Amino acid sequence: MTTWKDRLADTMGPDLAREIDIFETQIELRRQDKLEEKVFAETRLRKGVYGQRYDNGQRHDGIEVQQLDYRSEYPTKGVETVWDAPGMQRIKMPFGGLNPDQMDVLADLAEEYSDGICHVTTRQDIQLHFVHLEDTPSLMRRLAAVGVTTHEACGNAVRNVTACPLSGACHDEVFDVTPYARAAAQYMLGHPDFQDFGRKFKVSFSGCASHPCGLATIHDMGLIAAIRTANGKESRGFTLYVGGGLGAVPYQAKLFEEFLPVEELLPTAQAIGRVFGRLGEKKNRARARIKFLVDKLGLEEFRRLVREERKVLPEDPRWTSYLEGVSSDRERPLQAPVSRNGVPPPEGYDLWKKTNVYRQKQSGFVIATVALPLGDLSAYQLRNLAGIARRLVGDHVRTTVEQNIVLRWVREEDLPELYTSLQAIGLAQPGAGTIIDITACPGTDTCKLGIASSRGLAEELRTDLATQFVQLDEAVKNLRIKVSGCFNSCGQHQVADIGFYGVSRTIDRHKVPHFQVVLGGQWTENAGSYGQAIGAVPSKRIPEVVRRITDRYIRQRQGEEKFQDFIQRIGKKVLREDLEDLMVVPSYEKDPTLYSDWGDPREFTMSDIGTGECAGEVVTPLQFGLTAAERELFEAQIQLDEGDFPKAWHLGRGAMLQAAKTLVREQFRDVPDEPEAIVSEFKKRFFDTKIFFDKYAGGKFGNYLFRPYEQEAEDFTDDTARKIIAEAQLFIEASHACYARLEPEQVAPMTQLSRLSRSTLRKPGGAQ
Amino acid sequence: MDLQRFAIKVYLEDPSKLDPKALIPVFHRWIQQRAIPDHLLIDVADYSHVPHGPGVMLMTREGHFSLDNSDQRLGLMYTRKQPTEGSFGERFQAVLRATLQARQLLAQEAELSGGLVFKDDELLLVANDRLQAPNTTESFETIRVELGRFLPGLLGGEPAIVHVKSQPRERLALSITVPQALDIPGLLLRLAVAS
Ligand code: SF4
Repeated sequence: MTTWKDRLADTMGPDLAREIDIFETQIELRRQDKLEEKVFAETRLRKGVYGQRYDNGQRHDGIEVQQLDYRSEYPTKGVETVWDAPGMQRIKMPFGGLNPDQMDVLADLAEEYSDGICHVTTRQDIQLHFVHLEDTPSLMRRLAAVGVTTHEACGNAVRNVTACPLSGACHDEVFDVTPYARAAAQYMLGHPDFQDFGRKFKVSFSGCASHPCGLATIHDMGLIAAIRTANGKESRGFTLYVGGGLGAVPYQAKLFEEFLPVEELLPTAQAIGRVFGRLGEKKNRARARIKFLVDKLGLEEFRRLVREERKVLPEDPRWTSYLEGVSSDRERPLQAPVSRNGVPPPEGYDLWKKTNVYRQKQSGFVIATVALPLGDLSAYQLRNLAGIARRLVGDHVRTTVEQNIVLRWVREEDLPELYTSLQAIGLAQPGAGTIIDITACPGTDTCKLGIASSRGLAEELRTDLATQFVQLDEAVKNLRIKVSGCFNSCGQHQVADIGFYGVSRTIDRHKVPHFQVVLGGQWTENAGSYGQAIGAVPSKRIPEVVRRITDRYIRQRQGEEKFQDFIQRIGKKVLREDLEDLMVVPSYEKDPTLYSDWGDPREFTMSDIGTGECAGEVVTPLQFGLTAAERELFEAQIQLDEGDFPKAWHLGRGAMLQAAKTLVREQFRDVPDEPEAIVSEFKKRFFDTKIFFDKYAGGKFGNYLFRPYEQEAEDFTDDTARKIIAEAQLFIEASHACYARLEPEQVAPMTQLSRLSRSTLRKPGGAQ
Repeated sequence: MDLQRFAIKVYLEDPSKLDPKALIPVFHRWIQQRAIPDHLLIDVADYSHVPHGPGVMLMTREGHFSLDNSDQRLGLMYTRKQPTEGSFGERFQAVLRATLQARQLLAQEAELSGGLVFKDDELLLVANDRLQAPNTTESFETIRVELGRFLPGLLGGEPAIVHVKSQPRERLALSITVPQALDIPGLLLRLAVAS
């Protein structure tokens, strides 16, 4: 039977293809219980393959906790994560960039592997839910064939690099940040200096300081375009902020550098990565983001360390090679603008145009926002949207952090046609960027940590406000509402005018879903300030909260007073008093409706909360490296079984090299990739110093590496292949032991693979 | 014919009578009652805010039941995700059986104003695998021939099988119609015997 691997073999680069093959092998190894759970979980997360609610095998059905018997024969795929339980696939889209071919593939994947829905996230990613692990390699290959990777979409890695969706077309931008965002995403992807983090690392690019599009201050590394003039010559750079983040403990990013020349962008990021990797918290995940490191060290010291690190970085041509192409890296419209023909617009068009269309700085062109309720669109809609894009704008499509999609470079005279086409597929909702364009994280729908139904609430508010939208006061129309299902803030509630996050309260032993009301966050100026909670209100009463707050704003607003200023002036105490009657919860007997959540008739419970995978466990690069060596050895064994002796021999040798490189990297991060260099560094650092020596066998295992690199086997036979595989096994074991001697308390437990394969290797004719 | 992933849809007679959200409590109750045999019922997903989408869904380990509107005709669709045993004919019958079991439950639902009325002279078969069954005339012919081997016996007459024309990137869909409404309880009995 043909597979996607066969079909797409020639459509992707060898590295990407190999990466997916490796992941497929890792799935197989874990299935056979030959790969440690923790290592597999982090590997899986780094591929964007994420857990989903109820994958721990239990669910409260409203009456009792049901054990979900997934009938899984295989081991867990992570902590309390049943193998056969469907999960979520996150797909990284750097700066939200999409083209019609990619949209088509995403639509296909949603239908074939997921639930028919593509979800746009607050980091411009795309997520598919209810995906089975076995389907992920094919899914990844199909994405790779159109230039998309899921690599490092989750896990303790650099997450999707975000950027303003208006970049290159915005009237207020200093310059187009797109090429820099693209270069940064490419540079950091898989780079060794961005692998050893205790938590995730988020980067964003913004074209200006005043608008919210890039949300620089909520990022680990936020960059805002800047120009400096010296000696009459303008040069480009970025204002760099570090250590921002939302989550349970929100931090505003701190100004690291007023002007960082573009040439210094990538090396500085790399130096930050190194400092964070070296000094960032690894054990306590709750304090492992870079914001805690900056706080602990102080900005001055952090800056000093980064600058020191920067000085000793080995030169990398990629730091600046992309800059040559920046001036020509400009989007071109699909068609030249022409004058309007005066045909009367379709019904509803004017309102849609008013809220969803932005006039580009390039005359005759606009950006149209396709507003997606809850960030969702069906496969049918996405495929047809791809067709519309192909016809009207070509490759100029992006997702946004407000969970929408924008079509760029629309000719102004094509707008009525665009509107009609969108209407035909149910995507012409007005109100983009207004109070009805509500952002929500997945919450209890699919997130394992969700407390309350953020999507249920968002949908209720959206439908409620949409019915009054036309009559709403302009000041209210422009407010932003954002909802998170818990304090982790994935819905970015702290930077909304009105934000909510899910909590629970217990009344007479019954649980009541609540939302904390968060007011005064500043969306503009790159999320200039964070809101504060004023009290928790039952979920079902939140629409009334919105009514009261917005009514008061309309009544008591002074002139053009902004919402944040209004909140500041009135004071949170008074605003809370306004809501206090809503906070009183009647008994279950009096009003059971408050005891269930939006869109979910079950009585509310907290018992469905699972173990989060937001960042996975910390797996050191050394553990990853030695696991990679073991995987390569496993592949060698498979080739041996299949009778491909030359391949088996080379894989066995390669496995030793991988283990040696892993050890060398502990001392010499920038060891080159060439085998001679690795072998020579290993010899110098670990063999000649006897660090690698076994108490009884001395240098024997080290010699297993040197010999095959001094001279290839003359003959590739069953015997020579078997011998090198056995030696490689011992070499990898010795590498583990060596590391254990150096770092006794950090040693990775020997994987099942090591134990099992040792016995498999004791075959007649084997080296032992 | 190696097609493992496919879906079967049965249409509603009068979709205007149904508020899709009314299915949410119904599906939650089905989970409590473990109402669908041979399926591990996991959760309910509400996509009723997405026009041309899967609507309200009952997610199971084996596949999804959805009140689907992606072809702008509301109906109950069962999309099989896990492989099933046997020949294509056997797999088809297993998927049809699960679809009709859910259809029967919905038709009897007191909470849905006495139950939904289905259009029982039509089925839609959707091949959910672009590798094994791309949306081409050849794939259509292959499946039509396969269906021709067992459908007349199963349905009690020769059905009309038509390739639902769509863009090539859409999934291959086959409309299967019979001159008179099928006797669903009888058909379910035959499927039970066959399984
Ligand atoms: S905010 Fe909480 S509920 Fe929402 S996605 Fe994040 S962890 Fe899950």
